Amino acid sequence: MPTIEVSRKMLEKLAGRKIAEGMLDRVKGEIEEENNGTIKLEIGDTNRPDLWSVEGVARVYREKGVPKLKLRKSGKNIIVDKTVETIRPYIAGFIARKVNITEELLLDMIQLQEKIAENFGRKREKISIGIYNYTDAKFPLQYRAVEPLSIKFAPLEFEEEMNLHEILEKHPKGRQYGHIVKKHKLYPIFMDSTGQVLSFPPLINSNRLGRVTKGTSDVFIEATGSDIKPAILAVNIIALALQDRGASIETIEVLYPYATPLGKKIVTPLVFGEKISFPQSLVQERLGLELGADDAISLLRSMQYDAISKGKNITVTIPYYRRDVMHPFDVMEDIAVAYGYGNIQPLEVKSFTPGGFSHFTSLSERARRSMIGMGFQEIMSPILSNATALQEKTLSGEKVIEIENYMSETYSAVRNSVLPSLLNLLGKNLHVEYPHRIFEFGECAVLDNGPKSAAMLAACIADTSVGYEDVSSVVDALLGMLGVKYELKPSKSGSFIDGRQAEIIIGKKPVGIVGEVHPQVLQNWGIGTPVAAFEIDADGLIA
Amino acid sequence: MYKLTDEGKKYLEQGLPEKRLADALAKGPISMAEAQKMEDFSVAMQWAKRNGWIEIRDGRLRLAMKPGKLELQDALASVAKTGEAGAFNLQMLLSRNLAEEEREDLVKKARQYLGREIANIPPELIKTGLWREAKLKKYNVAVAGKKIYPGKKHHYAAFLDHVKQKLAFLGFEEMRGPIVETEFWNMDALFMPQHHSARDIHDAYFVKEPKYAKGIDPAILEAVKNAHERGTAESRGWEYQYDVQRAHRHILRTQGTVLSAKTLASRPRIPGKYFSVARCFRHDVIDATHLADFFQVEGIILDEGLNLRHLIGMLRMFGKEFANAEQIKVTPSYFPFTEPSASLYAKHPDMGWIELGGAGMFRQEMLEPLGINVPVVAWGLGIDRIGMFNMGIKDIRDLFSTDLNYLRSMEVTY
Repeated sequence: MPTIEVSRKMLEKLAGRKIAEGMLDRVKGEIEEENNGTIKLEIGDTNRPDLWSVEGVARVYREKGVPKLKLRKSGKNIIVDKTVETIRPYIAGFIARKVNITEELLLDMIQLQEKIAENFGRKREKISIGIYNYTDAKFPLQYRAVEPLSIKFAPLEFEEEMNLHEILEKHPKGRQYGHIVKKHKLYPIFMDSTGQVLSFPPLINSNRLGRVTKGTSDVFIEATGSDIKPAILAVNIIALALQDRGASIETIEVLYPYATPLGKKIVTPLVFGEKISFPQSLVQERLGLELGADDAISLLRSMQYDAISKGKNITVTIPYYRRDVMHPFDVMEDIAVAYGYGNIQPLEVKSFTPGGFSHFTSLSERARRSMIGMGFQEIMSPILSNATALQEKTLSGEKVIEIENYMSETYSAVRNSVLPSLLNLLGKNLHVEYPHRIFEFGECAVLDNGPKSAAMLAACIADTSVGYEDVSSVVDALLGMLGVKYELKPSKSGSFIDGRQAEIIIGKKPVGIVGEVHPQVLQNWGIGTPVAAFEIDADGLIA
Repeated sequence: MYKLTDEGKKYLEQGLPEKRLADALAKGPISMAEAQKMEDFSVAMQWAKRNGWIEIRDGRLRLAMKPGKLELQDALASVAKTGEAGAFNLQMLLSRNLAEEEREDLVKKARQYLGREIANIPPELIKTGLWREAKLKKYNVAVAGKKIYPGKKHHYAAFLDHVKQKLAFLGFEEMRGPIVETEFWNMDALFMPQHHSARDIHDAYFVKEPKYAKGIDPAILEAVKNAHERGTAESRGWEYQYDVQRAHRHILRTQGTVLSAKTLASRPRIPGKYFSVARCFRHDVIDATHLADFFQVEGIILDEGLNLRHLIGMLRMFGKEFANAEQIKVTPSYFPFTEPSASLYAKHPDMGWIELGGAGMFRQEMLEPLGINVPVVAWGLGIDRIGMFNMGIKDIRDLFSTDLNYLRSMEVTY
């Protein structure tokens, strides 16, 4: 969820009213902290990039109906070259004049640009945004792809010129986002009509032409990306934010040599003007609210929709800065938000349904009760473990399910047995009064023609003197209480002492093991007393 | 010195009853009804069975094993003759009340305890009645006894049991499923697009090998793919190219909602209520408030005519049932698979508003491909947080503590 920093003063100035915490439901917002007039505001909706700025939040409290984006034609073009079609095919842009960039506005714009590119733009993969000083560049601008070694320019924060490979290696942004372009032979580049580089999307602007500073009056903004509508959405959002801050917005015409879902000539920003219709009765159906058409329309307008009712239907126009409204139910939620969740009368669910536990829970309940009756302390352990613990330290040859992108080595595999969790605990409690009688009935996963989840019951008795019979008698009592007939057959597991271990066999199937834990295993876990243990696969008990 | 009791004398003469039963069966099986008429039958049964001599098949008693030489019978004779027998058999005779110690011997033993303060009372004093003359030491009864460590539930497991029970009482049926899942069920079936920021909050653990699963139902896969690419009846969908291969990628379950999706896809009851307590996994740094594996409690309600007011009613009830909170609020929220969505908060006297969980009504784009045509209310509770809150635990890592002293000392509140 994006968190933005906004100045309370600016927020209330733009909203035209005071904003109290209770009012933030409308933007699904939560104040994380407020210091010296700066609010850290968490916006709960990951699908509403239009709300990720002070202008966007303020707009919700100010506007009724879809806010007007006053567009003037600049007559300027971006010419797209065929070379980008398979690399990063889409671009949109606009010019904002008379912006009067202050320190505060500059920071607000950078924040919005970054939130959109990071959160909505999938870390620049789908969308990245560049801001430039308008007067520095000579139109028409060119968007093309080039050989990485064929071009050199000085990227932001650097004085020296580098080719595109060098930028990938040396520039922090190159290292961070380089993987997006690396898979291609040619890299996208954005330049003016004279061949001067503006930026290397989606990585970095030019230090010369791609710099916006305090006092700049006219800026040019573009978004490139893999999908056309999200790229246009991004420029729509930023254009409206700048208009809210006093700028006048001029369109740019983008000329494509290839077909796009919106044609070959696209003027941006673009007011999509999408509409969605639904029967008025849907409000009652989905929300349980009895609202007249006028009430519904007034609530919708307060959420920045334009809405008209005709017959039994309501048709709304979706604001051009939103792409999250794809079903009439999305509009229903906005009606409920405007109505106020706190004002909605709760209803009880009246249906009668029989409740109950899964087989697993019922079995686990009985087995755990039996173990507790025999004086065992239940323990609970993480399911994530590692191959060293599961295989090496426990001297078990079994394959385990490993995690490709683990965060820490300690939790890099899924346990295939509960026994290592118990041994781990025993090794950490050498100075705690003996005997240690512990058990766990826990989830595991094993490799059995693909990953398969399993539930295992394991128990250990550690004491200065403890042996096979101490634990085989527990198995006998446990299975007796569960009403299961079993047999013991000598086994050959590396985890237990040879000649003091047996397979537990239920209905001809081996379902577990009981025995004295091998001294080498005890040593591996730093345990100083003998340990007798058993482990049973719960599947075997249900069968 | 020992002597036979009356029962002992009788068996000395007639033979032990279990032996008599075995002898009778040696001639052939006997029906239970007939056997029950035999003298000392219940004693005979008990011991013959314990010795493995007999079995019951088709309602008839049969000999399973011929008795060998009977040492106990000899011991009876020995006690009658010499007043002594081998230790093992003598113990058996005493426990079966076939022999008893001579009174003079008992009295002699009991007298040794007289004239001094005694702690534990010896049986000889009780049997002979000499306890009347004994001097019993007075104890300091205010001192607690020796520390014992009883078997007991893990404190958090006990809390989860309580939650499960409560939900079953409320009419919810439990769902279960694997911890290794596919992206398809964990995310795609919930209408979370494959490349979207909504998946940022579900940074998953990917399985190294095998990378891809087999056997996702092709009809459901196709329906979900279409919903993502082109939408459903009244929706335009996410408008992107769906990657079928990626759908099969093995991951560790990130959310219990996967169980709801699977339940919906397998002909659930309507009306129906389902819940799960599921271990889930997220790619998180472990600290006082985050674990890499954690619990989620969640569920669904399916019925004709459910709407947002039912959702809010249900959340308010949960707030009371699970957090015992006086003050509850329900606010708008966002989840990729619900619309409308809501969050539940309870007011804590010291900590202010605490988020207990989230809920919503499943999106049509999720329900239609799974074949569901009634509204479904879905909810999830951050149960680890509620549990810590209820048990006064500050550090979430204590839920998986390996300190045995700590585990032994924890009260089982539930």
